[in-house]
Amino acid sequence: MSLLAIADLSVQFESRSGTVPVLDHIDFAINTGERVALIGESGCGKTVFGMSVMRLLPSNARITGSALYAGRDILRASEREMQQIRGKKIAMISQNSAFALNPVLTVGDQIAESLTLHTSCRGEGLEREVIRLLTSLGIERPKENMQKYPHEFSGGMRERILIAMALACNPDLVIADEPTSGLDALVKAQTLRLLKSVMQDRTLLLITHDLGTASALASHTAVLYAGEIVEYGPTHELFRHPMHPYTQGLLASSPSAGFHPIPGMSPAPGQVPHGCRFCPRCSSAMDRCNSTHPSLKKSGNNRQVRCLRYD
Amino acid sequence: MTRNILLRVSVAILFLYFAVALLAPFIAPYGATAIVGAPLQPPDSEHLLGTNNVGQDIFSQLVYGSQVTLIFGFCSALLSVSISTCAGIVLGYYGGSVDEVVCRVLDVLMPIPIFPLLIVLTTFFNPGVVQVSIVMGVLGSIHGIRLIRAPALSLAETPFIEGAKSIGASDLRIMSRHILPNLMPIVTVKFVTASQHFLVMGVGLSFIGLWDTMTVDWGSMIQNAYSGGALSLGLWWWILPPGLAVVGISLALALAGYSLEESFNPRLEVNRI
Amino acid sequence: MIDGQYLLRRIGYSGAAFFVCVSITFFILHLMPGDYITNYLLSLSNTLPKEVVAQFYQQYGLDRPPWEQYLIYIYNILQGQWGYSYQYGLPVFPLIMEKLTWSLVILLPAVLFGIIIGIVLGAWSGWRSGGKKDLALFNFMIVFRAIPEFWWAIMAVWVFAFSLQWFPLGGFSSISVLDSGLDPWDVLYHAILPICLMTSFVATGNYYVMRNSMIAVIGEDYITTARAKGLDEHAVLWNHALKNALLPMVTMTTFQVAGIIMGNVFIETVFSWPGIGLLTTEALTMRDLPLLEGIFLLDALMTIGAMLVADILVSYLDPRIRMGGQ
Repeated sequence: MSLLAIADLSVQFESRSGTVPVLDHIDFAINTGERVALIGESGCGKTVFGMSVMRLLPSNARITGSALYAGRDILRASEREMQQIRGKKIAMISQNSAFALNPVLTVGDQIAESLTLHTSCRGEGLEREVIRLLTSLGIERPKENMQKYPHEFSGGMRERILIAMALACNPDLVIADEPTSGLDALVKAQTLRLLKSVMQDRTLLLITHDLGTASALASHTAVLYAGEIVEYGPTHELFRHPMHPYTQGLLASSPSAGFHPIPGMSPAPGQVPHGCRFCPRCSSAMDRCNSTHPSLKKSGNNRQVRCLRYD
Repeated sequence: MTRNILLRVSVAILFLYFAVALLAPFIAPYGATAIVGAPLQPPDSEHLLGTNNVGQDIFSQLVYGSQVTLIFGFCSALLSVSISTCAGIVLGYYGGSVDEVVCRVLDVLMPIPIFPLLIVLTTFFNPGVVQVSIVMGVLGSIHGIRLIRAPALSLAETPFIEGAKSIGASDLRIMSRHILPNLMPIVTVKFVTASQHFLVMGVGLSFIGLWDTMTVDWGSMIQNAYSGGALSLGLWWWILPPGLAVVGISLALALAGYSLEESFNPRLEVNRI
Repeated sequence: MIDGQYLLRRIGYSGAAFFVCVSITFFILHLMPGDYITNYLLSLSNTLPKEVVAQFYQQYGLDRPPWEQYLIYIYNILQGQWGYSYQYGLPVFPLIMEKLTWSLVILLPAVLFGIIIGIVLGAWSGWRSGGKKDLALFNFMIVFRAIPEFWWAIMAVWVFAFSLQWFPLGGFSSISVLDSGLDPWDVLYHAILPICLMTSFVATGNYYVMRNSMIAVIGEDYITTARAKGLDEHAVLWNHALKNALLPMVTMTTFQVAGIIMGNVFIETVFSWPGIGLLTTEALTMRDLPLLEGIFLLDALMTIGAMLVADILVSYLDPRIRMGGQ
């Protein structure tokens, strides 16, 4: 059984100028032990997806559909129940380590906070646990460093602290939103290696625009375009034989493949084309792509693709 | 939606005040200081708002008084915002050692209380309303420069300014055509709030006797009525008109300021859908 | 472990600011037609004994070159020799100090309660920003603040003193002070209305700043991080949002408090409260320049001091500055 099964998830934002759909009818499942990457360009709704699973979207967001976690629909859970789930069952590594840590609290306090909330660790045991977490993430002199404030650390170190915070209560599922954003190449590689080792036996939902991060960490990959999943499959297969023209374009646009960008821009939320949403930018578009909206179809061995060419 | 209506109503009220100040000689039936009737007459058809303790027509004083009050409020705000904007943009755009030095000087000048200083300067020079407004504008700009400098600085580092530089646009052109338009929302809000602040403060300073005794404005009218015993005698027509006139324009400016600030600052707006 | 260099720099700025103020008052006094001492003595009596003039010339160094006069002036200011009031015929400094005590009777409770009330309401309002109650309070505060302080004071006198007769019309004490001496309860009774008004002025200013500060903090990523840990709203507010929202308040509050100097002038004038504010109005009406300069220097000292305290407080509270960053 899936750890998290999302069915027909749609998210809309209400604003003065009307309702803006951001995610459309997402079906998606993560099994225990899987590490799934959700990739897409900025603005495609991937961060909103992570936040809707955590139920941390702003009050003007309207969520429909269901998200079954351990047999329970967390989209219908009460706020109190969600507080029991957040941090303890489903933890999040926020993007942008420079702003995700509270500047006026020591990092030790911030890590200990989750532990005090969800476990029975107190006093010396609590301190030991914080030290253990910091050590496990390769932070030296943990006893000294836990007294420090976030601004005293480098970006890579802050990222590690965020990971330590997320792993503190040994959650069933970790959602990592752009865990390596803003880091330079060397630190990014180190952080990725570390993430890979600590996530080895865990379930991870990785949200990223970076194909390298996805291929390094994820066992499965879902490609998100304009609020829809357009392709899903095991990472190495999907990267080797991309089926959807958008995925092919993404791979071709990566620097290692020669940097051939996809022409055009992804549509703004609320202004998506009528037929296939990728049609205006697609080099292999057919006539009916303009009018017919394709559905996500199984294609061969555990792969799914949303493209009329595979119908 | 309601904020938008509020803004329009406020602007309409402001236009009304301006019209009264500009057309004062045509609206006011008598001169501001002319003694035209018996003292302390209640309102009647001859004196719309009655007369004060020396028999001056209160309605005429109210109409003429708007000139001093509006000149002080808007001239000083216009000057202070202009200086802040120019200085802020130049400092933010060029940066460097001049910026460094000016910012240090501003750090030093910041805690100097400007209104007590204005009182001292006015007492010494004993100048007219326009001159005092100029002094006020200069003093008031000290607090505004940083407000403009910070966004100007971040604008100067954006790619589109770099781009304008690379195609050979002159510094003056970049500052006036590229940086200034982007700062207009902040400048507008600052101007409206400064007008309100200075206008109310001007009436207040007049209330405590900043102008000479011949100057008629709302502050001196309130002062006369208050110290003349309008409250104890229950002469509402003596004290209420100038007070309500200040409250009216101050409210219009304040509401216009907040409405503008909200429409320009998306962060404040997000939280109030 | 406050960064010593930062502290020294702030103290240096404060000293420089006061130096600028003293220089301004010196130049204004010396730009005056005729010299100030002769003007002062003439205001006391028509005949000027030679010895007296000579003694004043000695003290103020009026027979020396201008730059020496300047140094003597600064020295005198630091010694508490702030010149003489035309109107009262008294030294300015002790006069101001006596009036300051009376002002503090109103200002101390008003600032204390005003800051607390403003911050509590502002934090509450900002935390619930966008809600109906927040909007109602916010709009009320906008309107309250837009109405001038002196007009509130006049209306309060009209309603509570004249119409309802709950409070005295003004002054600091009943007429019985002549027989029985100053009664603290009587003074308090006279002070309640001005204190309430000043408190609400301080509170509205702080409310608006605190609300904005809170709204800014709510949008920060670390608030989301805190929620993602599973903290309830109460804990997010108290453990994460409040301290961050309060930090800029320390500086902003001093700006607010510095701004109430003029509010205090209006309140004291309307209520005839014998403090610095009423003294300002009297000095302005009489064009008593030395006294006004003294009041300006006092106001400057108060705001400069308040801002220095705020800087030190912030650098103590904010780990980013305390560690010498930024």
